[in-house]
Amino acid sequence: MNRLVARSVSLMTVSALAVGMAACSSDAGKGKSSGVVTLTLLSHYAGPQEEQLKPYIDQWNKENPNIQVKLEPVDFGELLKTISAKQTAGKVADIMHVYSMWGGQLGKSKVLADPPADVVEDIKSNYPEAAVKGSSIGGKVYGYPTEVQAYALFYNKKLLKDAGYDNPPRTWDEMYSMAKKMTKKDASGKIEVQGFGFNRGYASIVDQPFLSLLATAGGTLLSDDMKKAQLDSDTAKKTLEYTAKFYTDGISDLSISVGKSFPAEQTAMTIQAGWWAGTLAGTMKDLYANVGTAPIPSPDGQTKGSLAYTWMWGVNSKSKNQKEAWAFLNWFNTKPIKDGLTPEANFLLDAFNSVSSRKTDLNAQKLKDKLASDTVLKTFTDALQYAKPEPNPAAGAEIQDILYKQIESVWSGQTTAQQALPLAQKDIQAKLAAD
Amino acid sequence: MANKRSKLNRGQALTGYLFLMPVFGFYALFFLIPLLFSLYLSFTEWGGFDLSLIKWVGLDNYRELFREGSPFLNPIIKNTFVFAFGTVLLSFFIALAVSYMITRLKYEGFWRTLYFLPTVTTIVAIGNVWLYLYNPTNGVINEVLRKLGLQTVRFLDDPSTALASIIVVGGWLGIGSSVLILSAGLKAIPEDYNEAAMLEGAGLWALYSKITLPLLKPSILFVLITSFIGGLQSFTLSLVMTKNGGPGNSTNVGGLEMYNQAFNYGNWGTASAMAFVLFVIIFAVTLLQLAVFRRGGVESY
Repeated sequence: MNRLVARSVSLMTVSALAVGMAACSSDAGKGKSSGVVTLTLLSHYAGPQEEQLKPYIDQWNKENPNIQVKLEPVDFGELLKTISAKQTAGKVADIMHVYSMWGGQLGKSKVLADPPADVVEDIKSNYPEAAVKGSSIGGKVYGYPTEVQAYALFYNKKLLKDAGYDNPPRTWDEMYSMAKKMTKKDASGKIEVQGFGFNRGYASIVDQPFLSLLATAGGTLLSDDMKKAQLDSDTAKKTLEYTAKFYTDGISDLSISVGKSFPAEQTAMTIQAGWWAGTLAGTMKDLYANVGTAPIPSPDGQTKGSLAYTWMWGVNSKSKNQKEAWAFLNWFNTKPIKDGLTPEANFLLDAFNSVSSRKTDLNAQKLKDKLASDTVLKTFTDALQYAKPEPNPAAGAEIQDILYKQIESVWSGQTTAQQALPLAQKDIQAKLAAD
Repeated sequence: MANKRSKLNRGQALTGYLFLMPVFGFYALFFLIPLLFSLYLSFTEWGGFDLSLIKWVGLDNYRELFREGSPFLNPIIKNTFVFAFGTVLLSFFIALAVSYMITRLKYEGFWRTLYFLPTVTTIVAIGNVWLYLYNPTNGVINEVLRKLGLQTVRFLDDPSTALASIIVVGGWLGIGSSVLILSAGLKAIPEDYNEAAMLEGAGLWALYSKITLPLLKPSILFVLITSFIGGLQSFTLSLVMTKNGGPGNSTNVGGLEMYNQAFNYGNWGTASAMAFVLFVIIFAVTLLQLAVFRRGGVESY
């Protein structure tokens, strides 16, 4: 009997431990079998963008049979949550594409590995200061800058022309009056064409155009040292009231998705980042010829302002294959493979009609020709010169959400700019203080 | 003899426990340890990545939740209760009527299956179908409203209608499982009571209110408690239909805020504190419901 009990105890304990071990096992040490290292690359390049990234990954995999890269695409809205869930569960991705706004949060939790000295040196000497800042956390470089994007005005030339305008607006007042004139409604009052509209759906797509407009009026979200919120200014109030007027005056409708209505020529003007041009070209086909871009109108028509944000390729601090991961990133970001451009530059051009910020890419004839002939691309390249970099405090994602919710509350008529901004200021200041 | 029997009983009990060990192990691994760990986390600050970076902060997370002007109390907890009450009331009263009727219909199983179908459909699909129905520009509901000469309703984009629109979906979704339980409860009521009452001259309403409803109390209690707990914990519909609890915080509920705090902002301590506050609330509400129904006599019939 005793032997039976002892055997039963042993068997059940081993079974329970096996279940536990299986549940808690980590992927951190995996990826190496028979001398072949498999690197996982987690990014928001899903769908068509994944297809455009894949040929370069395939090329690397073919040339480097011992270091294979496997793509793990997720939608942008799920990327930070996926990084967080995977990291917590020990299922870490070796290479991650990270939005600079999350840098503070990821840096605080030591998610990103320190790059080797030669990588840091290469980044510092081959990218513009704004890009280096975007891929740095607390002044320390963590990865290769990728999408350095600024905001500008997208407009539909045909809709403007039909309303009697040959040029895009230069001032806030012009933009408002032109939008009002271009807005068309049916008999029931439903908007059929909105003169101007903001994108909606998640925090950054709402905050960044707002902060770009704020920049044209000389305002910012945070002080340069990221210690103080700046939403208690008259400029912030004036900007939020200006954006809300489009909704309260029936020029814009919160229910209309600009992502769908602009390509369908049912929204005449919007503020978006440069990458959107690539999406529009793919969606609108021939109608893309009607798309124009211009600097964002400012209150006085003279001041130029925009917001620039950055993404970066980084390596997971928990990855057991960091050396191989940096080797891949080094190839992807620095080695010219086609038309004198790096894989990253080729991919950015194919997928987003965007330009790499790496000096060697910018010196390639193909990019020079492209910049000389593509006015849309030029608008955004110029905007990078005057755009303010998006700050990345440790509570970046939370601060972005606080502002987003207050902006939406004002746009939807729940509250006023005068009531919303002090609340946002107080909450953001509390988050900055907690950092 | 007695000593031998006692030894035998002890041996049997031990063997019984041994056979239960895998279940205990599973329970401890996936419930008890995470529960205790999250209780501990609620007193800490942690970004969710590296266990060595957990920092003890005492009651700070709880203080932050209950500070004046905290969005957690208003509107998030308020929304959570409105959502839970709204969905429970809607689904319960409809289910009560439906179950009473279908137990008197032919092909009862078919009707029950029909009402139960939404419950077995994935909530993401349901949320997306209703998103299309609610769409202000080309959704079916607004098309009908416009045909009737009425104004377009911006169901999910207007803060005054957004939460109610999600409650309707949640309520509709809950009808099936409530119908299943209530119709089973109705069938368990012996016909003798109704027959005796009818002989005494009781009408349809008297039968329903004096016999059916009181005898259905155990099923009603079960439906109300489980639906209400489910309602307080639910966040998938808000996530699918509004993505972030918007506009503003108008559809943000406890579960969604917890999820965002942990996975989006890296505030695992705050998220865990929210989870325990919600746990205490659910526990208290459940005790209250039990007490109310026990006073009414639900023990047996």
